[in-house]
Formats: sequence, structure tokens, C-alpha cells
Amino acid sequence: MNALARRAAGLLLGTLCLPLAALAADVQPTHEFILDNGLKVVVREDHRAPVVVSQIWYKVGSSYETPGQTGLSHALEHMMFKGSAKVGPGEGSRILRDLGAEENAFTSDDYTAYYQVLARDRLPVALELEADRLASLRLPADEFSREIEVIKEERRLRTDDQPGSKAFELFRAMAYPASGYHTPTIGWMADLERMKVEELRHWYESWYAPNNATLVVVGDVTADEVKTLAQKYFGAIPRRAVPPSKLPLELAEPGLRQLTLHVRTQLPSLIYGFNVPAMATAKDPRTVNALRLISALLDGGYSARMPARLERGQELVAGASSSYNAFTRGDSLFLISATPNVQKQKTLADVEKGVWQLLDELKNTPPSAEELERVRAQVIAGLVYDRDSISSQATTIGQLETVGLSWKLIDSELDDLKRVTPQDIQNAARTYFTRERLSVAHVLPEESAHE
Amino acid sequence: MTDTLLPNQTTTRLLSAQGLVLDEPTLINTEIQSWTDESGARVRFIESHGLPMVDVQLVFKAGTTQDTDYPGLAALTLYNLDEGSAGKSASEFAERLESLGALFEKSSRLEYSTLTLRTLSAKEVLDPALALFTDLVARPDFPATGLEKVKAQLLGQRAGLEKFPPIRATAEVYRHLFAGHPYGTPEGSSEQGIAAITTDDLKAFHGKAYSANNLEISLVGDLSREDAERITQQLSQALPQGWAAAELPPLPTPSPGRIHIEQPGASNVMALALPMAVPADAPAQLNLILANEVLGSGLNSRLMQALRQQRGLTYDISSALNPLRVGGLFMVRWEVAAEFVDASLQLVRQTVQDFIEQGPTAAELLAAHRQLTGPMLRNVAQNRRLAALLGEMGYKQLPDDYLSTYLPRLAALTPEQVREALQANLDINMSIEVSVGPAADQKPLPPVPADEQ
Repeated sequence: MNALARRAAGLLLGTLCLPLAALAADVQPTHEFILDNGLKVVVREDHRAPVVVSQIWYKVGSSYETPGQTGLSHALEHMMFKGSAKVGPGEGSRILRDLGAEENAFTSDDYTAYYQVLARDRLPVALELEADRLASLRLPADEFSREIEVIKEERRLRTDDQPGSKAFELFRAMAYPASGYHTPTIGWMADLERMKVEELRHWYESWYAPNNATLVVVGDVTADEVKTLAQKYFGAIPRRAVPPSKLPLELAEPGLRQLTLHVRTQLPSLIYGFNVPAMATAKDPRTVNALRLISALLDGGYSARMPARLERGQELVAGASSSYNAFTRGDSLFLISATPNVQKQKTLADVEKGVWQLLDELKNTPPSAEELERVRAQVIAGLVYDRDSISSQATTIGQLETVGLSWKLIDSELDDLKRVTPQDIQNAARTYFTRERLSVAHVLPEESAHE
Repeated sequence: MTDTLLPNQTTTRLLSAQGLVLDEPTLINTEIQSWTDESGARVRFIESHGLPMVDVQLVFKAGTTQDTDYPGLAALTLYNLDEGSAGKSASEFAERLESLGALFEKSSRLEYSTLTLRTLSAKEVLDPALALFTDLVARPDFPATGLEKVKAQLLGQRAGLEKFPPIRATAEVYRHLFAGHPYGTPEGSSEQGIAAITTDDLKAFHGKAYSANNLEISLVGDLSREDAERITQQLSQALPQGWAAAELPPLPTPSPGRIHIEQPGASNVMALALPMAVPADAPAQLNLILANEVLGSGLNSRLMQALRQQRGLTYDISSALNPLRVGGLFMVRWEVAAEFVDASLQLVRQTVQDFIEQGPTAAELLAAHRQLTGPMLRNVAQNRRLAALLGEMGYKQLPDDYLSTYLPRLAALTPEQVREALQANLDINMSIEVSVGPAADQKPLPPVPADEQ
């Protein structure tokens, strides 16, 4: 759209437009610097209370793992709490708890991250403990043999005994034929059974280097304070060569894939996933922002299309949702899931038909300006509300940096979303909602296996 | 008791821990402004310009304790507010609110009904969002179709809740401990009550309980004092006027009891509760907050040590205070295998009794204080949580300096003061004990391994 047309569209939208200028003016002071050893540090000031969150993000996760070695990143995350040069197993956690800190860690396809939330004057302790386990993890064999049992139990509890999680794990394995994203983060059970502490040591030595990490600090601090502390505790850790890593790229059109699963569930459900690009792999970021808004058109609140039409209007589904993670290191999936309204005798076939009606409509007719503005307002307001928590600010920054984007997107994405037009929505729907990009899972109750 | 405060060898190994002043309470200087507006609504306001957003919370004394003649009326009135208001249907309302990116939530409790609005602070968004919110709270239409729909939802929800053992156990505690008092109907509705309620009942209840005079308003966000006054004034003027909930009667004389609810399941859900005659705004609440932290919060609490660390009887055991306006209760909850129901109950009873008699040690108090500091700091670091805290201060009638004095006042309490508060307010002989689950032949406690003794 040329400038004139864009202005005309703006006038047309008139009273519905969110005052984005007012938001842009409120960007919080954010600073970045890189230590000599390659550790990148991002500091965002938020002085509402004397609290600070510190997160360290490593560029390693399950999408970096090779067959036979799945689950290494997550297992290493567990072992990071089992002692380093200055503290014994579990001691760091005890110290932090005595300081009134909240701490934990999380692992995903693209990253492994550790965090502490604590009073501002206690930040040095969090940084010293974090630096210590980056530099000198002990990895005791006896602790590992206990911990791997905990991890297997975690897998049983959270995946094998959870029909929904189990189905989604198998669905992803099918929907990502080419990239490391088919690997479940917790690892396949057979790989957990044969995991050795030596493999963890190798994984740790390969990826846990200052030049492969981003330290994010958000809260009641200044950049100078954090710079001094980061230099003091992390500065002496030497830079190390890190193995080359490649973006998890997918086939553009792998073809229609179908999976039927029988699990211990009461109700059948449907999962759809389209292979689509993400911010780090898309040729034009506008495509990605269009997909984000499509997800909101379908599932953003009470008046969105899926609840309004499929749930309340046609009474076709008991529930339906869509999601799209635009901030991955490689290609992504656009996901739709739904449960048929069995009280109204609706089947998975009915639900599929209803979903395709919505998708075809997006392909055939651009959304009205009014509807697009409504969902855009929700998405943008949601991004502002997310900043209420210093932890979610830090997570957004850490994730962006770790998937190869810039933290600066947190402040510019509001404008990027604003530029998406109804035509962009239609174009994205036409390009991506095709059978060649689609994986389908029918998740059925076990008893129907015998029918 | 293992002492887990920073051990000396660690402090010397950690450079950063040297010189750290741990026992000086962290300073919270969040400033609260408060006033009562012309319609009688109490307002608490925190001016916070860091983010372009506003959180509003309305707390009406319109909880289930206000509807004992028609159990369910309070909940049905609240849940019907967004079924249509000022001539707009539920979906029109949702569409308009969503087109502003605003969020609306509601919840019904024993003593209060709460409504929240979260919106961007730019005037072009804030004003229409508040106008919609005002319509919703002040001008509900209560269409008959909405009432039927919400009744069906509430009945469905009730049926599910009673089957859930933790909820059943808690409900039994309230029913027994507060029998004959409005606190004695914790689920807040009955099937007969729900069936009998008409849209006229909703209108009548709304006309009283949603009065400005019966309201505490919390506001946190990117507003000037002037804006805050204008907004709250507009809102409270639109509401019904001049009614306020009467103070509830004093608590009934407690009678101890033991209740078992037979239900199939892998284990028993247990509760042991003691009544507290002390109201929510009493200064002794702080002493009890500290005591509760020592006794039943976190991995090192006395109850956790006795049941999990030493004997492996349960994965989790915790205690909580529920301070209400005319008293409240203290409750311990845990899960245990069916054959240890009696033995674990005896152990919990003994642990609580010992604690009331002896009180905490100085080291335990210090640890509890540190443990309470983190959550408080995280609360004041987030607008949404601050708005909820202001609402809590409103219904508990706490003073404006509560946030800034909370940590120093906790730090100043001595073991003797905490013990005195325990002995003055909790009596182990008044306990209500509930188990929900399968019955089994009872076994004695497993022995404590020698190295734990």
C-alpha cells in the first residue's frame, strides 16, 4: 500500500485506532553491552519497586540435539542445581531461598534459561552463583544417577500419563519432518535410559560459554551497576569456541500428514498444524505479523471467530484454540486445536469442515477494517500488559536475543503490527493454509479403537 | 530443626554475600493515596507512570454472606452483570471492550464480589473503557435468557466442585466451624436457592449491594490524582446509593469435631482447622502471619519436617490463615495414604499444639521474615498485584502505611510476641478434623530414621 492509501485507511479506521504514539513515548531505558569474553548483557530499567530479575539464556536446547542424545539440554538444566566450585548440590538454591529470592530454570527447543527474582541489593549473589555454575559445574556422577530418575518420573508424569501432552509430542514429531524441532525437549524415554553423565559434561563444555549466552537484567538497576557486577563475576570466564549451529529450517510443502492416536481421554480432539516461517526465517516480517493477527482473529477473546461461530453460533465445538509462536530460531507451526461438541452429536469430521470454512473465508475475503482493528487492539494492548511483570519483560528480551533477533523488537513490534493490512491477512492465509503444509491428528478415546 | 540460614563457610566462599545486610528490612516506599468520595466509596490510589496502563479493582461487600435467604443470589447477580447492560447485549459489550484492548474479570467470594478492569491509559481508550465498565457495574439489564444460562452453568459448577476432595474437605470445615453463621455456607449457593431466584431478585440485590457506599475502589497506574478522582467519582455516582452491608454477627461458639467423608480415591485429603476470634484488621494478624510461615509454609516448615522430611508421609503439607471480618480460621491441609489417616492427624495435632505452647525460635522467625520478604517485593513490583493488594487492604480495613510498614513490623516481632498471639488466638482443643477419601485399617506412624532424630 502506498503512503496515500495508508493514510486513507487510517482515516477510515478513525475512532477505532489505538493511540500508538502515546505508547511509543513510554519506552523504558534499555541498554546493551558485550563483555570481552563475548557475554552479551541487556539491562532494562524499571524502577517501580526495589526488585530485580536476572536471567541468563544459553543458545542451546532440544533442537540442537542429535538422535540418540535427546533430552541432554533439559537434563543438564537439572544438573546445574547440583553444585559448582563454590557451592555443593542444592546449596545455591538454599542460599537464594534464604535471601527471599525466587529462582528456577526452563528449557525449550531453542534455549536453556535460568533466573532469579530478588531484592535489588541481593543481585550480586545471584550473579556470582550464576557465573560460578557457568565456569565450574561439578556434575557429580552420584547426583546424576539420582537426578535422571527424577527426570524419567517427570517424563512419565508430564508426558506419558498426560494424554494431551503425549499426543502433542507425537504430533510435533510428524509436523517437523526436517528440523530438530521434532525432538521433544524432555527427550525420548529410550534416550533417557541410556544417557551418561559424560555426555552431559560434553554438552556443558560445548555450549556453556560466555560467548554463547545472554544475561538479561530487568528492574530497579542502572546499566552502570550491572556492567560493574557482570564484569566482576563473569569477566574472568574465558571465551570458548562453540560448535556451529544451523537454523532449524523446514520443508516448505512437506505434503498432507495424518495421525490417528488412541489415548486415555474422555473426548476426541483435533490438532491442525501448518508449516509456516517465523520472524527469524521469513522473507518479509509482515507475513509473520499477519499470521500473529490471524491467530487473534480466530481465537483472540469472546468475539473472535472460533468462539463466536464454531462454539456459540454453529455449536460445533466445545472449545477451540489457535496459536502461533513467531519467535523461534527456525521455522514454526501455525496450530489449531478443537474438541467437538459431543452433546450436539458433532464429530471430528464436522469440526474439520467448520475449521476449513473459517480458513477458506480468510483466503477468499479480507477481514473488515473494523474486525482487524479490534484484534490488533487486543494484541497490542496484551503486549503492553505483559510488561507489567519484570520477569515477562526479561523473558521477551532473552527469547528474542537467543533466537537470533534483537531485543529492540520489544519496542518496535507495536508499530510493525500496526502496519498489517486486511490484504496482508488474505495473502498470508492463501500462502500458508494449504493441504501441502498441513499435519492433522485425530486424538480419540481408547475404547473407540475397537469399534 | 536444621538451621539453614546462610552458613558461615558459604558466606566466606561467596564474595557477594560478604557485607550484605540481610536483617535490615528492604524499604518499600510505594505511596498510597486514599480518600472517600461524595457517594461514600473508599478509594485507594497508587500513581505509577512507568507503563501506559491502568488497573481498576472494585470490591463490593456483596459476597455470599449477604444472600443467606437465597443462597446463590450474590453469585448469580455478579455473573449476570455482563449478560447485558445499558441496552447492549453480552456480545456487543465484549466486542466493544475487546476493540479497546481492555480486559474485564469478576469473582465472587464469601464476603466480597470483585470486578477488575485493565486498560491502556491513553484517554482515547481509557474513557470509553471506563464508560463500558460503568455500564456493566451500574446499569445491568439482567435479561431472563442470561439468568437461565448462568443458572445452568452455576449448577454444573457446583456438581463438579463437591466431587473434588480438597474443595469438599474445606467446605466441611466451614460448614461445621461456622454452623448457623453466614460463613457456614462456603459454596455460596444451594440448588433450591438457585432455582428460586428471578431477575427481580437480581435487580433488588444489585440495587442494594452494588451501592457506592458499599464499595472499595483500587486504582493503580498511569493517572494523575485529578484523573483518579474524576474517574472514581463518575463511577460511584452511576451506582445505586445509600446502602451498606450490616456488620456480620459474631462467630458462633466453636465445637470441636471429627468428620470423615467416604470417597473412592488413591489417598485421603485431610484438613485440621482452628477458629480464630481475631478479626482481619487486628494488629495480631501480623504475629499470626509470621507464626503460620514457620509452622506450615515451605520445605522447612515444622509441619513439612514432621510429615515429609522425617517420615515421608506426604508430598506436601501446608497451613494457611483465612482472616475474615469478624474472625476467621487457621487451617492445615495435606494428603496421606488411607492407612495413615489417624496417625498423621495425631502427628499434625501434636505439632500444632507444641508450636502453640512453645512458639517459634528466633532463627525460625528470621527465616520466616526472609521468606515473606520476596513475595511482598514481587507484589509491589507489579501493577496488577498492587491493585489486588489495595483491594485486600480495603476489605480488611488496613491503614495506608500497611505496605511500607509491613516488613519492618514483621522484623520487629519477637518470639515471645508471636507465642503470645498464638496462645491468645488459637486453641488446639477447638479443632475440626476432616478426612475425605477411602477408609482403611489404620497403621501406626512409620519410625523416624535414626539420622533424622
